[in-house]
Amino acid sequence: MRRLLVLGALCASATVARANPLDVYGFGSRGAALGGAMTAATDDTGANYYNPAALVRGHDIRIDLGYRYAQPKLTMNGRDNGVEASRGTAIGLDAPAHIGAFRFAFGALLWLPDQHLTRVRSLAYQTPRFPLYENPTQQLVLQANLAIQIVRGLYVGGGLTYMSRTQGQVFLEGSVAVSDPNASALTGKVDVDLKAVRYPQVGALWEISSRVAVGLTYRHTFSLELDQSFRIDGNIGNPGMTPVVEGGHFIARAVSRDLFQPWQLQGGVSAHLLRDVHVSMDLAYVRWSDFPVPASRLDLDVDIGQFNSMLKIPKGRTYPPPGFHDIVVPRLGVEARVLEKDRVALDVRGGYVYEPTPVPEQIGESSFADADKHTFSAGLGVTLSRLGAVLPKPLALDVHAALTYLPDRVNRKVDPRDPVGDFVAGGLVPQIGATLRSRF
Amino acid sequence: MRASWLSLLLTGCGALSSGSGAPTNAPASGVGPTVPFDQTAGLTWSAPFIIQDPARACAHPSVIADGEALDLWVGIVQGEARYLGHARLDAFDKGFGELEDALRPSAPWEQNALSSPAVVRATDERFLFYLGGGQVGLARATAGGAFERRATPLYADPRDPILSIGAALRGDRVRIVLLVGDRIDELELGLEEVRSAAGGGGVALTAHPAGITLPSWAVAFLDVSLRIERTPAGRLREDLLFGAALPNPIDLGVQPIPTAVGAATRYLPDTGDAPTFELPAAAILTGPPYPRGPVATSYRGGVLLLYSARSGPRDAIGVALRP
Repeated sequence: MRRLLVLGALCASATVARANPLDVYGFGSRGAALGGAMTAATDDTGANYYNPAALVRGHDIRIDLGYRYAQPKLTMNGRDNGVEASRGTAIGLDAPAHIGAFRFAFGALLWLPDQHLTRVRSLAYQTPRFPLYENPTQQLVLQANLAIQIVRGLYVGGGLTYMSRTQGQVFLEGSVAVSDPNASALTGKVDVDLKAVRYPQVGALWEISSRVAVGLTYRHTFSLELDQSFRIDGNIGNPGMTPVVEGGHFIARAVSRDLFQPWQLQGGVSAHLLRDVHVSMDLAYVRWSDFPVPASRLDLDVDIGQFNSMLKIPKGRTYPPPGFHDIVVPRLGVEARVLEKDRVALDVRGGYVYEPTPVPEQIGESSFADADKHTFSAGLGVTLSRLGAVLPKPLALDVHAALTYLPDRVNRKVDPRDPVGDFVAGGLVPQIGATLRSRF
Repeated sequence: MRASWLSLLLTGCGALSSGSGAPTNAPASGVGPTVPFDQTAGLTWSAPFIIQDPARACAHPSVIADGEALDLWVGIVQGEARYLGHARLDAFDKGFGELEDALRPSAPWEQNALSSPAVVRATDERFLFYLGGGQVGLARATAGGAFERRATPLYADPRDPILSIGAALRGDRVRIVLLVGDRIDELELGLEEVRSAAGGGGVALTAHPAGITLPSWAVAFLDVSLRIERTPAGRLREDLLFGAALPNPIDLGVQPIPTAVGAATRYLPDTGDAPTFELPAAAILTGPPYPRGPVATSYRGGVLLLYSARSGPRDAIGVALRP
């Protein structure tokens, strides 16, 4: 019983975090190298994430395969907080087609982490952590999208992102031996479901001319629940004797929101300023003020017959709203073709993102560490053409490296008795990746 | 299907119990000593007792950390003699050296009994405040030399004997807390005044109530010490540590009065008056037998707590570390 209570308590103190690794690190090496300023610039399978409308932009079937590795080095008071690396494989598909003049495209995207298929880290409310870099970077992401051309140069698209939430129950039935726990006879049943969760994303893209395009993308909010309950039904007493308590039960149910994604509205413009220089800019509004209280609800119910009056179950605690605020995130990307030969071309890319922190200074019981983020990125893209009958269309290999800098942010606690105390949070998040883009 | 879902759930819950999931190195240096201590966590020493002498009782430690080195002063009771001793630890993986004499009573006002050392370091100077005959004495040492004491008391309370003293540095001023009878007073003087006083110069001191009340879990203060640290956010925090007597429901007059170690804390402006102390709801150390005389210092990124507690027939110096 005590073990179950402990497990229940552990599972009852979950954290909420930004919801998926694509929001944190982007998709594909080209997108990451351009600072994620891709709402109007995307033209490959990255459109599944950046702007589904762009799936119908091209005429070739595209299949992209990439790998990305990021290792946060985030510190509190100068000590590494141990935030786990995020690494995995990205696979994208863009399949445009047409029926007469009506053009449409189907796309899909899969982010497959190679450490955990999905992982939820539950921490006590008071435990210091970097909520925007914890759970979200350790999730499988699957997206499916459809896009159509309205008129020439104007596209819309949308789709769903699939995640999952857990709902589990553990049942134990039988008799609990008080004097000798080993003599207890309990049979167990476990019933756990991973429920599908979907949230939509939609986008629009307008190619104003051959040199300028504008785009708009909306990603909906969602949060995931971790719902776990434990139930023991049985008699309490000693084997072979009349039970002291007959038909007693213990029920513990913990419900926590373990992941949260704010809704986001992102607008972007893409322009060829010079013949070989392409610039893209995005501006995103991110609704962080809906961030829920990162604590779970724990319900306990115990029936031990005549001993009920001796038992006092404490009421669950309520926590103050976390007070996150909405942010506007500007992104900038520049791409230049520095080499163009018959069969090979080389693109050089750079990007910058400024993401103000949505987390207020931590002055109370919680210790959510975060800081403004400056991300500098760079990348190279090599495009090979005319590779033969097997690959008649160009094949591109992109590589990128990015560094997110979180300048130290000071958090001053109001109460000098606070168990965490004043803390300074900051650090670096380097990432590297490569993507092979193919057309058919 | 459900089996595969279960494996996914277990993947998630695995992080709960493995310990690999929790953030490592949660902040501690900003915490101070007001959170309860584990007696032995993170220590390689012979915790909990690091100074233990079969012939001498040691109490009321005072400590100065210099990197991994620790200088420790204690009040010693050896038969009828009451004097101050010193021991040094050169590195974390070493043991403390022999307990040596630091200061023995010599002046008549000291009444042949010294106790309650409180050492403050200012660059290469060390100032030792101590009690003799219920009054505050002062001695000064430079560049590792022996302490040279002031001939007369530095301070005496006009009404009651002083029972315990603690001291810490706030910038270029020394703050002192005093347990006087059943109350805790404080006073502050500049380093220049301390230097002058150590050389025998006159100084007029007035103590004020320190703004701390007895916690609900205790019945009397037994001793005090002071720690002033700058938090990672750059502001000063003052911690007042104390030994306290606990209510004794079964008083047969045989066992010593139960005790515990407590702490109060407050943010301290760089200059000027401070707000009242905030008291945690519970004691910070209750495990060892009859703990009292606490003192704390920052050490190896955490907080080191030293105290005296009963070890066999007499008191010894114990230690706890919050890494």
